[in-house]
Amino acid sequence: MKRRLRSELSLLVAGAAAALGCSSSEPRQADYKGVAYPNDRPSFDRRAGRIGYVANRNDDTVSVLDLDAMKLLGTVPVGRDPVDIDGPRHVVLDTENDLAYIALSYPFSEQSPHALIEGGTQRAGYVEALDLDDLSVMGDLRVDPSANELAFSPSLSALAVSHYDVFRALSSENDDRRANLVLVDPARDIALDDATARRSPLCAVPAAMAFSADGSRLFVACTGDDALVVVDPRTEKVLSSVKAGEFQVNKPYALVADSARGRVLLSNQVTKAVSVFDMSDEPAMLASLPVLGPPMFPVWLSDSTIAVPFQQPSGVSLFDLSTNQELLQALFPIEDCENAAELSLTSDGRLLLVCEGTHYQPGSVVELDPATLEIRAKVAVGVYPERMAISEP
Amino acid sequence: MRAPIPATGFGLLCCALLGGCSASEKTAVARGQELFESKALSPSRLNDYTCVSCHDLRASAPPSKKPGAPLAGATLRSRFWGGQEADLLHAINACRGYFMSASQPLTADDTDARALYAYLESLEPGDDAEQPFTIVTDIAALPRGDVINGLALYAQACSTCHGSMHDGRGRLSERVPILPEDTINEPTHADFTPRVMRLVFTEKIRHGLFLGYSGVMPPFSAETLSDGEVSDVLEALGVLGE
Repeated sequence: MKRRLRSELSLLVAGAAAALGCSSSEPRQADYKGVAYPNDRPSFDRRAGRIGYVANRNDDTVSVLDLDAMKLLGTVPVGRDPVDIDGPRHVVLDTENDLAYIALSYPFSEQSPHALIEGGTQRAGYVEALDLDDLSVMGDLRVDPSANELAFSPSLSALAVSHYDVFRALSSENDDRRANLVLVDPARDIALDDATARRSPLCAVPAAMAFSADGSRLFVACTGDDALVVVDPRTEKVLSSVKAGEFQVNKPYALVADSARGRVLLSNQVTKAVSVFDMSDEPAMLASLPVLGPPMFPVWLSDSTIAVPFQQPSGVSLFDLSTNQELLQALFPIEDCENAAELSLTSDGRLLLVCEGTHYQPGSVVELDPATLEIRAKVAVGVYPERMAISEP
Repeated sequence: MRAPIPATGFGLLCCALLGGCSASEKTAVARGQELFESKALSPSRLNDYTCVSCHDLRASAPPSKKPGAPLAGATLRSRFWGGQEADLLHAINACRGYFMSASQPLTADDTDARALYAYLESLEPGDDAEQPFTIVTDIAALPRGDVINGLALYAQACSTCHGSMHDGRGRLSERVPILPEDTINEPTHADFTPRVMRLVFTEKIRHGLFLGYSGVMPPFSAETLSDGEVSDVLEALGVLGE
């Protein structure tokens, strides 16, 4: 209503101005004096508590969660295309600049038979910079097809983008199978539509990535090369590429790194095992922890304990890293949590799990009891979530 | 909520009270209406569309077969494009970019963008509810339809852009294909069986330029055309799949 009153007053002013100033014989256009295109988006107060941001890749939205109350605050559409699936894969937060970055993957861009006949090709991926208050789009940057995972280094203010480009890997040979690593430094320039993407060939089908705490190293799970790759982001040089696991084919996908503990955890989907590496320029595998199904994104619960989500069946296992023994395993009925994907531990010790769901119906975020792995609370999100970024107050 | 005062009338009343406007002064609302009704919303020479090509101002009974939603009330809505856009200007720019071949988006500071907003605002209250717009992504073989109903639907949904069936009389421009012949005779369609050709027509109606297609055609949502109505249009076009 205030907006209407403001608009009517502005029209009064405009009318008066027009009446006083319409002596010119040249037709001219009066400017609209009201507030055109007012921003009526809801904003999300990050200072009030823990907020979770979940990208839903099959409905082009971000679910915003109040993680303290375990309730949905809002569902915000993202992406550049109002019809096609933009495939938002992953949100990372740049709280210093009040921004979030999201990768758009366009997962179905090569699947229309008619488009292929017409010569259609893969679509380029994009990274969008979103205002963290209301997730409105500030700017974007074109990257390569199959933009997949993001990693953000607060130390460098740099963003890394991987491209899970299976098409390239299958249709090329040798070094041409490698997809580019894109580095954006400073990442905040994306919000100004003034960012430069530094591209360098990385490996075949790179997936998850993590920066070291000081930003001097980037660790990458390279699915196609079956390797853990270490990159110097300043020079873009690949420092090493070590085998992902103890078997002939391991198929790494998820990866988390902890600089304080000096470890990288690499989840191998074929061998259904998490490889534990030291966090060096030539990582050495210290242990391989078998789980019941393909493992996803694990989390440290303490210096000696990690929790690993896995799929088919959907569950979580706790491991003691000092003995490499499984301590506890929980399986979830599909109605409670189908396709467990990523675990997070909040600063107050709460264990949260993203459940992908069927990929065609809404997924969820559940809170687990860290000791028993029982589900304490659940909140529905959008279609095909995989990862969650958490803003702590 | 109090009864709203039509903004256009309010502005004109102000003009009249203050001594009257010269004809040389074009209000923002008038300019906005001009943009709405002309091709000038896009600077591209390739643009054949106006907003009116795809949108009515207000809902009608029976419902219009234009692919876009009625726009009175759009300034009060929070979601557009079936919920996929949360900003009115982004939604407008999507139309300009995809259908009207505009290479650069309008910004909220552009005089024309502001004038268009003024015009849309003058249409308030309209319908402030989010308008359903369900894209039919999976294309299936449709049963045969009704040719009489199909001819009527063609006149409402297709002829505005494509002109008369078979000769294109009255079409938006020579770039717009004459239906069904131009589509059937596309060189890349030479090997298509009748069954596949029917799927191509169905896909084009449902997806427009999106979902891996191309061109500048808007998609017809499930709310605008039911599967049965698409069958009827195909029947009228003679794209029978056999």
